[in-house]
Amino acid sequence: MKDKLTLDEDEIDCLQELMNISYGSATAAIAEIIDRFATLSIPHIRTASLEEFKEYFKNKLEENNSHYVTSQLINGTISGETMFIIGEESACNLGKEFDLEDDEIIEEELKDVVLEISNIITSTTLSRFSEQIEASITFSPPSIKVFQSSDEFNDSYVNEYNYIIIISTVIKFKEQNIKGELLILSKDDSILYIKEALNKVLDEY
Amino acid sequence: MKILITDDSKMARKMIVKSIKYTIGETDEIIEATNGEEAVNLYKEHNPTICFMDLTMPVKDGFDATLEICTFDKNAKIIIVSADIQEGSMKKAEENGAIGFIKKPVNPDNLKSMLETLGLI
Amino acid sequence: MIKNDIILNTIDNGIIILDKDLNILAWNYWLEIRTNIKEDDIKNKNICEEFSYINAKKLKRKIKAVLITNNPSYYNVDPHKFLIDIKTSSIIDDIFDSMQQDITIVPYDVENKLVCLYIYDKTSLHKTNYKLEKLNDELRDLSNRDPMTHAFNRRYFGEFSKRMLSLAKRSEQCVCICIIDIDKFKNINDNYGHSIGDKVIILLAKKLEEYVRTSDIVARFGGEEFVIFLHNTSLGCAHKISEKIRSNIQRLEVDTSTNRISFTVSIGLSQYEETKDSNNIEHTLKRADDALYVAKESGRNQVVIAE
Repeated sequence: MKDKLTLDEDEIDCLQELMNISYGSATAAIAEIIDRFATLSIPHIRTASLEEFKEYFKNKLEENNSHYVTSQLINGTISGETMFIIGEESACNLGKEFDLEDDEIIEEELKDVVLEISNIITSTTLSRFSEQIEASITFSPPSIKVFQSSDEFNDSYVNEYNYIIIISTVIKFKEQNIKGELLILSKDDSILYIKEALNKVLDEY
Repeated sequence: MKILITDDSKMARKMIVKSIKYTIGETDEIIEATNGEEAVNLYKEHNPTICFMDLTMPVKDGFDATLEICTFDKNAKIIIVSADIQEGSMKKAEENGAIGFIKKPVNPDNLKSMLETLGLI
Repeated sequence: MIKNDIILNTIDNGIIILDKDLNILAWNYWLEIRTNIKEDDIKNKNICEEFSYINAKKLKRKIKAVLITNNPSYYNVDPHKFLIDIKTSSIIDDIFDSMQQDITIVPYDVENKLVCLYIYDKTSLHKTNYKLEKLNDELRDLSNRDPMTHAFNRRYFGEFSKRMLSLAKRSEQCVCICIIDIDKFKNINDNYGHSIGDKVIILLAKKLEEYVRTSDIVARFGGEEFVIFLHNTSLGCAHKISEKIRSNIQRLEVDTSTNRISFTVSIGLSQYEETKDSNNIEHTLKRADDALYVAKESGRNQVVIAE
């Protein structure tokens, strides 16, 4: 049963390309909104099972600084949850790009900036992606949590998802680099739909 | 016509090949490169008529590859194909020698439109 | 024909239509009622000029994001948690003075650069969340702390020390364990009663918290036994700290009904060593415990360092 739901090499290549395009739109949007030039590194995509994801997430939070984690629910042809993870240093760099003054680089202000960027990246990337696979989705308002350590991660809350797509990228501004990860958490039926949709796209070529 | 397609994604290269078949029809040869370094080497070897170039690639990116090719071939016809559609990127590519820019995903329409604008078909 | 006006004015949330320069083009009935401002009086005015506490830069940017991405954006309004200040009228629940609001901004007319803001009253939700958070904190305390002294309990110490040990090993830092046991505690209980005995324990716990840093923890292990986890501390430093604790404690006094009594403690101290403890803090604890035993046998009121 599990094997039916994993993506094969061609499907991953297709997903990578579609995500590349979608992420490109997101970067352009960010650059236009804050009026800066930005380049996007190659989004590195990997897929993970629930166990692998929990392991990955715990390890990420173990690194010695805080992490800002936003989450949004997606509903529609594909449903599930998206998360955006950004470390403290990148969040501060982001704050500077958003013209925050030095005394404004505090948790409350950064949370707001992270929520904004996560909303822009998530909604643009996923809208573009769903356009290309002919799906329609809506988003819930994002929420944000700051994790100081991996202990705060309560691993029961993600148990409903069994297939996770992790997209890592670096947004390079003239002076700052921002490293973030967009995660798409989904369940069986959504993955099946994505698999079918990717194959449809592949068949066209 | 000899055509060089450079993109690290197999899927992206396929999309361009398909669009080419629809617009240009049959060509003499289609050569594929998976990064900027390969592109420069294959360009020197095959001397293609048109080159389609992605921007974000490992080893060497599209900006650098374009600059290098245009340095040794002043008449190189390089069209950038990218998901990165910011004005700044287009400008930089143009400065490096690119003659056109197509926003991904490539389809027969936007390809035809670009080739016509450039007078290549 | 669908009448949008009716929906606009009967819906149970605030609706504002703004242009990209923050001028108000619509202000619905829900808002009229709660702000006492009629739509006709506020139409075409700039929202930031009318409500000077709103951050114009932020709002403009959010609106820009909505128009560029053609997707909703959300205005998070910490620390005040509202966009439009509407005073709450409840006398009973005084947690919030102003209505707590969630704001969603959606594209209304992208070509003409107009957006629509939806304002949701979240006051009662936030109140419930606030109470829940308080209850959770109490619950967590109950499971991690000793009820009488409020020091951490042994179970929590176990988890904490394990975690801190691996952190310390990664950063190549030293950790030390310090076990503190009240001398002749049984006598205090027998001579003055258990309530005095409890007073002594509570006083000791309080003082120990004062003597350590925030990165260290104090846990109550047994009736009259406390353990301190000293983070990033050399043995020499830990010895100084233990000696200071010992000498400060013997100067403390507790009131009984008849007089004032004082007491002393014996302290066993050990430093985590890979070769002796093989990645198990329990072994370090055992060595400190053995040192404590030596302290007791050697006359009490002293600090002994483990082998």
